[in-house]
Amino acid sequence: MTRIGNLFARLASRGEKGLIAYITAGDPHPDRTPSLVAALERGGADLVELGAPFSDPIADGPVIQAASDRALRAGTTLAKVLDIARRIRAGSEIPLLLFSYLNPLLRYGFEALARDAAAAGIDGCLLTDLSVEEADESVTVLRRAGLDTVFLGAPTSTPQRLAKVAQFSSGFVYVVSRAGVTGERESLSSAVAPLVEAMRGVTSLPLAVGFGISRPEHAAEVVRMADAVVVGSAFVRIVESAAGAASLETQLEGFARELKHAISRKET
Amino acid sequence: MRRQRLNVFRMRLLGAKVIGVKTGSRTLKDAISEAMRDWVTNVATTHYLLGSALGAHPYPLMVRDFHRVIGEETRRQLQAGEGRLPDAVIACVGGGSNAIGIFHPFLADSAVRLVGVEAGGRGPAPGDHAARFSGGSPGVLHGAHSYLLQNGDGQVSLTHSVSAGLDYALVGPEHSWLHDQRRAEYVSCNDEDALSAARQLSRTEGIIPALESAHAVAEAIRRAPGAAGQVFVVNLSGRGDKDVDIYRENFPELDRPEGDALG
Repeated sequence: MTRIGNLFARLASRGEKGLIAYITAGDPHPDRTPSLVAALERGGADLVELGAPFSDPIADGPVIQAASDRALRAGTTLAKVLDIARRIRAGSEIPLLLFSYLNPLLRYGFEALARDAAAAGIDGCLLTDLSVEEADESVTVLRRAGLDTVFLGAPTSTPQRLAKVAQFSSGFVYVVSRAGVTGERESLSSAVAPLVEAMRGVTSLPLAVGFGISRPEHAAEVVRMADAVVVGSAFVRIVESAAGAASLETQLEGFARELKHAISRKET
Repeated sequence: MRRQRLNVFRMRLLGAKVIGVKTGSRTLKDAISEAMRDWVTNVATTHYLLGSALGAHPYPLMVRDFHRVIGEETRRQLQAGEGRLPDAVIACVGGGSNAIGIFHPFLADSAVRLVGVEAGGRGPAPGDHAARFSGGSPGVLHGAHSYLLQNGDGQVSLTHSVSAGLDYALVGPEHSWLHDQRRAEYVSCNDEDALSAARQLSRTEGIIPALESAHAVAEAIRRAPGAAGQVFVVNLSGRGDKDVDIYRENFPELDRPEGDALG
């Protein structure tokens, strides 16, 4: 089993929920990312999504778009993202999911990427703009390299499409909480509950809910239905505002701990 | 929006709300990204329309089928008027909707040369043009897999063309197919030649073409000397009214107060 599979098995056996933290690799600088991931892990993150920066991140809101810009300006390439993963892996067993748009991987070469990512200690890939209709070959290549493949189910997905999302996913399935792009929101979408339920109907894989979740109380609400919650923009905003500060790691760790605490509280 | 100032005004006159893009490189690709983000956010109440044969399936196919009308009419009129098919069909290619529309009814006529003209911009240096076939490689942008201007790390390149409609890093996917099948040929025309062709067509035919279409006109002019007796069809896909501001900037000698000296 992969580190991702092991993680969810362990969480389930303890009756716990998972905290998945997203940060853009290379923001503010590739050399800083390993220490940011270590801070997230200390704060209780169970899995880290490493976002590979892309020039045209159509699924992302303004916070992650800006992070992508900063990372690219700092010279972050896909090869450097793998290098970052290697450095994280040297000191940690935290599961790592490569979150990327398709084009940088195509340019790198899919076979080579799958091989190099696995060797660098990446455990799985989530390719935001790889549609399930086109996914067959890519999934085969990634799985052959020992990587999990995570796809997105959205409130707009038809039942047939959700079934395909489940079929091509391994490790877990990512449930998009609302129609739209990544970014913090004031409230939790009412679309989550019916979508989680529909997803449960087509897969026994663990479900993680993300997009638009930034507050501890929303995270707590999400894990009443799902197995894990994904928080991205809220972490990235901390990176943005504290990039120059020595306290950046402490702030990330503190916010991760707050979220982890919120999703660990036993219901009364 | 500055380059499209006249069109922004016209859209507003017709009641549209026009929102400028503040993200990324603030060019056409960023406007498309923002439109897609708005669309997926408000998908229950809005629909997405991109004015070219681009984006995810089935949009390129739908746009092609809608634009096919021009190709079908061209074919019919030429057969009625000249009793023959053209030797070449020439059209500009940004996303390439006008080109795919006029090419399509001629695909099976292997004697008809299909010529797509991309924006050569200021020159062949990266960032100075939008010639995807000479400067690009296969990639994915905005849901389509096609020839893309990109760097070695798969980041999308900036583009330049005097013509806003050709200023985009990805070519419509069916053109990549026709290119790889060698059924159509793709060339490029730089800003200067397009401007000069627009002026020549305006003066000789009384038609002010869109800057996009002027790229096709330039290619026809380039090929004409060796083509006596041949029939070329040039797709004048847009009117130049929208580009008058840019023509005025580029032909200042026509814009002097004393002004009717012919340039």
